[in-house]
Amino acid sequence: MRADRRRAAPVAIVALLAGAAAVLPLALLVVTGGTSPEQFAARGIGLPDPWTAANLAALLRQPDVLLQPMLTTAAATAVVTAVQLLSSVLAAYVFVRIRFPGRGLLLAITVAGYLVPPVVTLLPVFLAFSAVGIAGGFLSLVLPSALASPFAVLLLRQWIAGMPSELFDAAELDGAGHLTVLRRLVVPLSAPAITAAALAAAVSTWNSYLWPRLIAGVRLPQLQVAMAGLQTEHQDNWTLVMAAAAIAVAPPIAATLLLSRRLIATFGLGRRP
Amino acid sequence: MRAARRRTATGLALLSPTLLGVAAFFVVPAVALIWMSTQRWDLLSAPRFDGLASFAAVLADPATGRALLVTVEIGGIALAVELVLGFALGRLLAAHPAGRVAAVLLLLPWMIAPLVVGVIARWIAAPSSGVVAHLLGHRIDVLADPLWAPVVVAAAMAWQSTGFAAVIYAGSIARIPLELRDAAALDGAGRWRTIRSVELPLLVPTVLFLAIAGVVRAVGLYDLVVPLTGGGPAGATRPLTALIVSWAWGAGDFGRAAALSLLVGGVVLVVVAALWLLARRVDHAR
Repeated sequence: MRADRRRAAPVAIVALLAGAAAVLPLALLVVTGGTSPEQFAARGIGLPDPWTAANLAALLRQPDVLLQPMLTTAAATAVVTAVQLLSSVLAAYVFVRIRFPGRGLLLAITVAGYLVPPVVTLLPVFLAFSAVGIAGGFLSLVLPSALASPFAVLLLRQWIAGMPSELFDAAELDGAGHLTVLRRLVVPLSAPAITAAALAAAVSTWNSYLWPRLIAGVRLPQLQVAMAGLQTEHQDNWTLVMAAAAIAVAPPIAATLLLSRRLIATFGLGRRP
Repeated sequence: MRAARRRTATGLALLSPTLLGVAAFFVVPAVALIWMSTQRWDLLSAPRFDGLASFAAVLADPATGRALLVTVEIGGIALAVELVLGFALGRLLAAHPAGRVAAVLLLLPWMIAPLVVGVIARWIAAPSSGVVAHLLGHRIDVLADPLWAPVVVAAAMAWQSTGFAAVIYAGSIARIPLELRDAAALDGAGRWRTIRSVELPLLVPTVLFLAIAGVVRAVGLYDLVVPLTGGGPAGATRPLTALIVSWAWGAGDFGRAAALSLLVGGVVLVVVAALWLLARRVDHAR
């Protein structure tokens, strides 16, 4: 322990340097997005002098290039996150607190879903959606991931299982039903895990590319589909592409920073409330 | 008896949204896939039974082996970096309160869309306008080199996942009781000896989790490759997912795409089971 303290300052410095190295490419995004195309062509990467909003303005002038896709993606993200959390909290609670025959099998099937790469189920779901005629609509974007999330169920189940069982016993003695226990006990005490699950759901919807491209394509373009289109259309116009990329990554990064305290607690660093 | 039945009903009712999702988007598609893989089927003609012909075609096609190799190579390099460098960083994060700040920074790449990571990596590696070319002062095109292109993809993948691994490791390391490390130090164990005999054995479940997640991610590798290399040069960075997509949505050959999807799913389950058994043996051996 004493040796640890002697090494403490260098350890902190190296850890922070590693963190800085991880975000360096993101800083480059902002720097390049703020450089005028002429300056970038003349001297490449460097701090812009002066900073320009020209790339941003060019992107905002045509809302269908980035803004429109961003709005539909935000809507899809909100729906998927809300529905997924609701269904996952209920499922996790059952998997910890309500014992019945066959429960283990249902848990195993749910967990197995985590191990199946998304591409495996893509084709049948695509054909089914096309056959029913919902392909390309908002519903087709959100349905596959909204209802069930093996990851969220596992994460929340782990957390709820770690709650002292006396808490539940006391609530049940008071005659509280399952829904009351969920609302008054489980949800308030699971804030860090719920935050982490919500962030995971939101980020993965915001970031998804393959499914939105296949099922909706350019009919109802999502953010990442629009990003890919922007890159192909503006090859080598890096200042414009980087400005777009900076906008695209801003919401997940802002959310992560805002929720960082709870997030770190879920990972077991920092204090558990 | 009645209480038991009521409990079952309540449990199933609360589980129903998740079960509906699992059934509709996992179990039913998996069964449908088995049926599809036995059909000869394209967009023009109605499906008809074709036995195992699709599987034979998939296995005989050299593109399958190539895509498998590419997936293993890129995923393997990225996972190796993630497991080793992530562990080193994880120890740092767990050792100091400043580690919490560093942990948040290290998590940021993990939160970014793989597609955008591909765009950024493409810009860094672009032949003449890219960051690397700029720093070197001359044109360099690593993405046109079939040897280096997969390494660049793996590096981008590792940049995205190493910080996440570090944070997961750090959480597990923070849970190792201090007394264990102190006891090892009292016994005269040096730093390496402590890592090997005290920390690593306790981290087997963590490594297992990261390895399984790495395998699933490697098999799902697609978004990153699209803007970065487009699968080129000459298929040198075309992973399994890209092959399935091109068979189904490019060539319209659903039977073959279904057969490859099933094979991929099967291989993942086998690899995950093997990893799990290996971890259990290591765990018991100590």
